[in-house]
Amino acid sequence: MSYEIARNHEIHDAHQRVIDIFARTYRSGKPTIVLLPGGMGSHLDRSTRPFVNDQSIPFPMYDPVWMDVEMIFGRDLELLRMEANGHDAGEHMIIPTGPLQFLVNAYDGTRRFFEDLGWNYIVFGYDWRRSLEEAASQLSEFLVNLRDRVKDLRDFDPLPTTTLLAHSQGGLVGKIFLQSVSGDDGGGIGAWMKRFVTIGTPFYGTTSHQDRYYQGQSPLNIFYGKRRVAEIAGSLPGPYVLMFADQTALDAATQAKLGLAGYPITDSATGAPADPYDPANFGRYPPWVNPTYLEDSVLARETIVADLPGPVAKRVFHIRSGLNTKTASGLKWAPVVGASYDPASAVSPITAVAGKGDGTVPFWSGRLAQIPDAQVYDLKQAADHGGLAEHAETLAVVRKLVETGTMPKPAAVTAAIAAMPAATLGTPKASQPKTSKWIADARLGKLKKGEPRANDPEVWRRILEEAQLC
Amino acid sequence: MLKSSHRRVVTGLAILLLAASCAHRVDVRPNPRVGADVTQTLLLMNETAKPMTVMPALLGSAEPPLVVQPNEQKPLRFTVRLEENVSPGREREVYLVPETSSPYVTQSAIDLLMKARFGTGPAREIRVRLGKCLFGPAPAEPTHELHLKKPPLSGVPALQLCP
Repeated sequence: MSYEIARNHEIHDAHQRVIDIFARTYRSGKPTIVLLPGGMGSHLDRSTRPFVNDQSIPFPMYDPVWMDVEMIFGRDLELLRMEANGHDAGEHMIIPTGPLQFLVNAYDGTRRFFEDLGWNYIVFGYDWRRSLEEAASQLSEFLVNLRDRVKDLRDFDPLPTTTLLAHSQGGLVGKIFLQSVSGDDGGGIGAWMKRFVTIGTPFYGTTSHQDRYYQGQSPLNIFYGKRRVAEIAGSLPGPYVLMFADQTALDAATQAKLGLAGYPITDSATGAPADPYDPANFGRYPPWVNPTYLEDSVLARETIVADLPGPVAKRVFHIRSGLNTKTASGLKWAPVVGASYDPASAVSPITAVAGKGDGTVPFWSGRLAQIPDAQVYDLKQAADHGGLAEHAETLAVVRKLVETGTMPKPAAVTAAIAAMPAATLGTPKASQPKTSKWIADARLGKLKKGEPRANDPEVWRRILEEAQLC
Repeated sequence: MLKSSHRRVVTGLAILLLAASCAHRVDVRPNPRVGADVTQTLLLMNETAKPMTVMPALLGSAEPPLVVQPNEQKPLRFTVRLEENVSPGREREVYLVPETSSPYVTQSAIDLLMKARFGTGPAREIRVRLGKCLFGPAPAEPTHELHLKKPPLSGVPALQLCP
């Protein structure tokens, strides 16, 4: 048995455990929400033993690798690195097991909101390091198994009343899934889902990822060094698609539909478009950036931006925010010599151009050009990308959408928020220490009296926010 | 004050406790096979204007690329197996048996996966969606024609074996 087939077995089993718990508490007649988390928003476990042959599985034990306290006090980031043959480091298999759940329970507010309404709620975890196409195929299998298991126990098919709710990168997985089950005319889409709702999904990319190949990522750089973080980022094929889209996907007609004045990445010396996927520009990348992954990402994008058949497009809705006017919504890219680029001593060749967005995803990138304006909701209060899926305003929009079948007007959303119990709205966050300094102090055992400890969930939330999860 | 030896014991116990709380045990669930393996043939039909070069599924394979010229067809055999989980759901899973399948196909979730170049274009994946119908009471069609009129979109099955 190959590594790939064995990994399929293990991921299938992990998903099945989640589905089984869900099916046992399923409430017939209530809407179902299937959440697709953002990148880095799925929990990843690593087998304690390496894969050798078909006798290796099922592995008797897994350890959390994304994420746990070893991410900052140990070497867990190294374990996320992928080999060129697509295997996990050291042949220790890594599988997704649901939403991120270490101190910070990602999407906890989302879960509570829908469970309080009495709705059915389940999270599809996926390995955000790997290709979106793989995750989309797993989603198809996940939904089929979910349908079959609920039918077994409740004699009811949940999919026709299911909303696929995707945050950030999860929306890219969802779009590829939709394309894969739509066929030529989209006639059978109702058997798969009622609607597909994205929240802050970067359909045409973001600015936050390209710089990771040069300068790593704060605050992980503190523990591993810029170069090592950048090298590990280069070994992960999936996130390559998070860079701004290629010029074919963002052609002049698409730019006009999205309200863009021009291609969003320009050469800082000439002002000409500088496509990150154009082989002519590959010389600007450090050696750890993989040309094959860049090539694969162009193909993934082709599917992401492809038009959906009419009956499917009618079921697609986008929620986005443009309230943070300091969001990097364009880039200038200096023509560096990648082969000799040293993250430790060189400055980044990437410079951000500020515009509207949610702090991570530019406003213009948060919708598909094909989807009509009436199916797009521009948030009036929620401004922070990482918290969009848990924000009361977003949740009110989703609730109204599910209950009425159409995108609500802002006044209706405001009224819905006013009617929410205070517990749903959450409490304002207390002021927090500068995360990077806190981490450095914690590693050196220099935390002062009164400073939050490593088991303080709010600190971890800050760490994830600083890492600009997608 | 604890003596250093006591401190070591306490620290060791704390580490063990932490490890036990972080790691989780997985049930050992050997999956019995259901029925016999099913061997099928995929007939790759290149209906594009460019030669199609299919790469071996595993990196480092000694197999040469398989070239299918325009209007030419090449058969690829594959074997699938149905297994039943010993979990409460007893759900069934379809798996590719690589040992008795063409070296040009592998499995990705519920899909058979191939990689091919059309002309000098980039290596594209070609997906064929599997399904439990291959194991139905009526014998499945032994051969499935895969007409490639244009390079398929990445992530989108070019053929569904169980529509």
